[in-house]
Amino acid sequence: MTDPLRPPAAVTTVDHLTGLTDRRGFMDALAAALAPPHEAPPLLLLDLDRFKAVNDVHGHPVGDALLVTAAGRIRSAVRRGDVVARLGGDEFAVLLGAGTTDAEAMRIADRLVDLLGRPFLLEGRVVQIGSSVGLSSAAPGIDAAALIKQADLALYAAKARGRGRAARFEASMQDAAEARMTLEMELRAALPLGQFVLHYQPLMDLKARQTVGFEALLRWQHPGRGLLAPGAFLPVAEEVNLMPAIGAWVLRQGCREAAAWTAPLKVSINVAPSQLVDGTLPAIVAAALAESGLPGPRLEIEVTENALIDAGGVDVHGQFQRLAEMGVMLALDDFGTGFASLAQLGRYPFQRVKIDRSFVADPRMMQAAMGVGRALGLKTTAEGIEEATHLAAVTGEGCEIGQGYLIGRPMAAAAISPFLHAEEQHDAA
Amino acid sequence: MPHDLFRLAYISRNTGLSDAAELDALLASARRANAQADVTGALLFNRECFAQVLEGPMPAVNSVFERIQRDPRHGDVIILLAENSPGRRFPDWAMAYAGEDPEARERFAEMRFADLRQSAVAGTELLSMLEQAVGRTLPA
Ligand SMILES: Cc1cc2nc3c(=O)[nH]c(=O)nc-3n(C[C@H](O)[C@H](O)[C@H](O)COP(=O)(O)O)c2cc1C
Repeated sequence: MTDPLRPPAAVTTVDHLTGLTDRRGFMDALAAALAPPHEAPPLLLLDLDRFKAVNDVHGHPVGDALLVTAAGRIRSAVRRGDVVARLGGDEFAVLLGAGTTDAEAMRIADRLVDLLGRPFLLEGRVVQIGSSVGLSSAAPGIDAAALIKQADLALYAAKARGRGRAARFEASMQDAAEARMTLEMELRAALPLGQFVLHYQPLMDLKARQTVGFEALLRWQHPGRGLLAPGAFLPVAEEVNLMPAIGAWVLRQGCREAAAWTAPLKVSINVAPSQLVDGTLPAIVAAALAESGLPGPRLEIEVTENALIDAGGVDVHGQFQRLAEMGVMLALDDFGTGFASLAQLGRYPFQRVKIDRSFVADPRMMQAAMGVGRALGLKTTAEGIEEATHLAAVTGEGCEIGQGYLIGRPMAAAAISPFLHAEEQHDAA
Repeated sequence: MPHDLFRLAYISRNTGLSDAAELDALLASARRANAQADVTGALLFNRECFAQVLEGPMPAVNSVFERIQRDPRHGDVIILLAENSPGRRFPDWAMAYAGEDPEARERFAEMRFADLRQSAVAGTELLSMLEQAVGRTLPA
């Protein structure tokens, strides 16, 4: 109900929670600071790191108290004449006063990172977060949008460098951002354009010295840059949430190609943590098996320990159970390099651990990893076998399956038949 | 009713306090502010680090600690203890300086920040050390 006797509330430019200037007030202040004949002042953009986790774990009242206290710390680090604004959520901006040098701006940015990295005591709870800060680097005649973009790119770089730090805008960040954007665009098109292919690396039974399967490895046949390994594009695919779609394609394609092999060998396919978050993996696998006619036991799904951790709140166990019911094998990849506890491993229906390549050259680590696998009743695969000594060592340890350049490099799907044929000839000889 | 007391103990790296005069000034202003906020506690300092206990009503400890957190004269704050408590351990001190006690001063003078952090000196241990030192020093 509006009271006709009261004038309409003045348009506010104050953030209610923190008492800082709000986004609108900040944009006004920025416009005023850039109006001729003024030179662009340094601008800082700041994000709190791990703020969401605080909200999730301690609840919104503590999250709000954190924002208020963080705002106080930011204000305590700047001078009269500097504008501190909350742009929304856990994003803040500091517009430094005219005449602030770049060195002073950097000092303030570092001080902010220091202050916000100190523990917070909120309603008796100790909360630790951090912050990342991006600094613009003024250029003559720059407008508000460009100044914000500069600081934003610098903030992105600060986060990419590991958070908890400040970074100043550099022209190369613009190039990197453009390259990344191009990559993202091309990546979005790669699936519909059919530019992904699978290569297959042999898995050898170490006792029988015979190929028993292949691990499917994703490659991108990039129109300009040739065949790209996953490291060149999967981080971006994860960032823009393309991984579930790409992962589903890998499952379909891997099953289809494996079903066409001349021998009933196994295919191992990697599944990323992001493919587990919406609970659709069992249905996707079931469809891939049905479409291809590949029997469930010929498919082995590999997940890393991170999949067990990253999927917080998601029913990973139930999905694994359903896969196991289809006869699909489950393997834990990069075993020993993640953070999963033994207790956690025991809870999931794994049949196999893949011992990380970093252990293969170290007999003691190899023994330890094998021991854990055996104690949990799991079969073992050793990755990264590149030298005859590795092969002898893992065979001596009783490892069941080996994989690595010495045994066989990844090959195109079309090369599998000749490879198996050659092996047969060799065995017959 | 006695449960509304809160106690905090931390160690930090000394990055700005170098002599007795500066310490005296800090203590004087701390005592004034703490007395007003109903906060009591103890402080120890050497060239490298601080150790401090703050106790009082939780909101008061929160706000005094938050002010201390913004102080550029120290950094790398590590909280060793944050607990509710039925009573105060330093009821007579707005901010005791445990270094008045020669023995505590000597023991603490040997402590390096890196060692303190490494040994993860327990909060309760620090608390009883400060308490002992303060016990030997009569309230001013
Ligand atoms: C190690 C250390 C301990 C401090 N302890 C207290 C204290 O117990 N109470 C207090 O009010 N100020 C304490 N201060 C000083 C505050 O950090 C701050 O300088 C003082 O409260 C003045 O704050 P103001 O400038 O915001 O008024 C301490 C500072 C340091 C470095």
